[in-house]
Amino acid sequence: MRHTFKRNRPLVLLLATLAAMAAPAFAQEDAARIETEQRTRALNRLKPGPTPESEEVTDPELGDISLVSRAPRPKMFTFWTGQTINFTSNAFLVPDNEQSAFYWNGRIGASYVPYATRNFTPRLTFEQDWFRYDHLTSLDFDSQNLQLDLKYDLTRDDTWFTNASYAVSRLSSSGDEFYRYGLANLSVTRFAPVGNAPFYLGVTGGGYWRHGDASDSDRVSAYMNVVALYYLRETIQLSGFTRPEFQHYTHDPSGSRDDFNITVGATISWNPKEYLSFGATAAYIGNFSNVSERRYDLVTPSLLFGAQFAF
Amino acid sequence: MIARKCQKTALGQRWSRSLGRGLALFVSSLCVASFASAADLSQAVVRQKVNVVTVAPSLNAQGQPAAQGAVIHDENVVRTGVESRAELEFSDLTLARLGANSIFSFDAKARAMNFNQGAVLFSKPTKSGPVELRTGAITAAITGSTGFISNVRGAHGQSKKQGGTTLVGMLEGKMNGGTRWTDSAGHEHTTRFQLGPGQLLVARLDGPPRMAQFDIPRFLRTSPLVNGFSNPLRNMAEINRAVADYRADERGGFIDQTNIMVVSTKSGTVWDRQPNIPIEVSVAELNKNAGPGFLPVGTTGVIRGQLVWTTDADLDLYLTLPNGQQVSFKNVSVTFNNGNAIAKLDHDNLGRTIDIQPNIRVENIVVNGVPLAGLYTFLVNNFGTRNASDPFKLTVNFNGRTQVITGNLANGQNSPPVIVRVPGG
Repeated sequence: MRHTFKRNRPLVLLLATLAAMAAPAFAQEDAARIETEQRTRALNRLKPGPTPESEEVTDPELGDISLVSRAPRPKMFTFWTGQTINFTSNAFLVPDNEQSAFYWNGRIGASYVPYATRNFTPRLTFEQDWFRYDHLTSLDFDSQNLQLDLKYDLTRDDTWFTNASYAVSRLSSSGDEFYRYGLANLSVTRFAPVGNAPFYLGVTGGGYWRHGDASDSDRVSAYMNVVALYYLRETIQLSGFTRPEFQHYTHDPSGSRDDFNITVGATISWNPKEYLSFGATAAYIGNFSNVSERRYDLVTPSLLFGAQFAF
Repeated sequence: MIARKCQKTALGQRWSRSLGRGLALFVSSLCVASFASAADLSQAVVRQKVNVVTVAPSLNAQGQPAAQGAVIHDENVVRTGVESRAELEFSDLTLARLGANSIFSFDAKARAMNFNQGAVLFSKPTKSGPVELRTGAITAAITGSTGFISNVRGAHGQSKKQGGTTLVGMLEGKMNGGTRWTDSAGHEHTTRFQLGPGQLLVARLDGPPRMAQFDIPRFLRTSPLVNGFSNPLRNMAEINRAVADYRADERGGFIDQTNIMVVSTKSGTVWDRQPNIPIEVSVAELNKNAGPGFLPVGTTGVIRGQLVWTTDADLDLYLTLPNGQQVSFKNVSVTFNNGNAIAKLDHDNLGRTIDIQPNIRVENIVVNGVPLAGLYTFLVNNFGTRNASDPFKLTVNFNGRTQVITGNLANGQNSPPVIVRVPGG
């Protein structure tokens, strides 16, 4: 069960990532996903089966075979790409006169782990994103994100861990930077198998502080990610996720703005190879604000392709 | 300052190792095709031999003694005798080191090596193309790698279907393969596997394979297949890298010792793990001020053996000392080594007394003082039982090393011995 659970963890985090895509804090989830994916992939090479408790062989020529439990070390370098085709029912995030659009989000990234212990993994990540809309080209933009993430395992079996991270991002359109911000995030995550079925529950609770130039979107936020995951087959996973988030805007032009944002969705994904994943997801995002023009909701289905290489 | 310098150096080494590994992967993937045809298994030379090594034209033919330097041809069968060893080197520099009582042959056309019996250490240079390894129910492919195989034929108490146990372990490089097995309903299965450095496959014909990880440096220190030959292994640089990775993982806390040994004995009894052995109920009692793997019954010593069982059978623990004297219920205390050491059965149990609830029985023998150099042999005897057989667990510890065997004993039956070697003398 432990092997299965650990093998499944990357998908839990992938789904957490999907859940977070609508929120600006997705980079934190990415870092965690990559790191755990590497660990679990290494474990995956050991197919499930109980570790032998005691064996005897009739060959004195062999030497001592002392069994150990060896957790995979995070890979030093990881490179990845992700491509999603999305639809949004409300491209401008407005309460009325909504406009729908298709858009493409392409991303490439690299991460570097200079050093790691069993409990502690620092990771430096760079990611480039492109967003391109089909007819609302005024919304097109690119972003670069550089992040330092510190992951600390609270338990030996990785079922509880914390992440502390700081990221700087710049957003540009047609080569002109229009926004830059920093994001400090702190979260605690718990994953647990439920019963004997291939069913898992993951919960992340955390908060972040975002400060930028311009400062209109500066805010502090508390959030929770909840993911329920079921394995239909070894390589096919079905999940449901939700992310409630409370946001307090610190420099909103209206003076005082508090939002409650909720994301609810479901995903099916397929990992035909350890380095490839395909997925389809659909999510509803509702934003409730004390500033009436900031209220909105939208539905966003997506098709996802991901690939990565680590060494 | 020095610490910082060391840290910098370690970081630099790790960077270059990872970068190098990535580049090596890329380059090797380009090279595999061009070197594939270079895997030359048309003949091998006996590079080194110890005691009896014979060569026969086929599996059933009479063998002739093989001298050092003898050439072994395609489909010849090489056998090693008792306490014998041989090192074969192929034209492409692939090495096969055979342990005692081994049977080995190769098929040049299929570029395949057949390990029919015994233990072998194989080492294949990276740039010499793929080779297939066949042993028991396992068929696997390697390019550049070093590992070992132990193919143990079925022995006492095993049906023909059970066939024996095959161990495959990797010291460096990778192995891809599959193993066939049959379930209790008679359905055949093939399980695919990939092994990397420090990974071990335990395969049987009558059940699914099991995977484990092992201590690479310890194996290298103790294996006669590594140390029992005068020539160094050609892949020593790669092995050293695997050891360095292992050590780095150890320092980073990624490795936990399990105190489980795959025990090598000269006994004819093979692996007999009982999945439902009820001794597991006592797991909570382990490590309770009793040393690793021991229940808190009896005392500790320089050498300690503890027998645990859960039925009302009368199991007895025996220890034979290097001087031939025996410690058991018949002779509970022996002073030896000119009075410098004492061996004692300090907890006896006839099976009628429960030492730990709900049903744990224990016998405990310890050696204290300055023990004589030589072999200390523990074994378990089922003195009397009303049951068809009784499960037991024997744990022996010396010098930080713990050996554990489990199994079932019928009335009057002895367990395989667990041997401790005290160096010196």
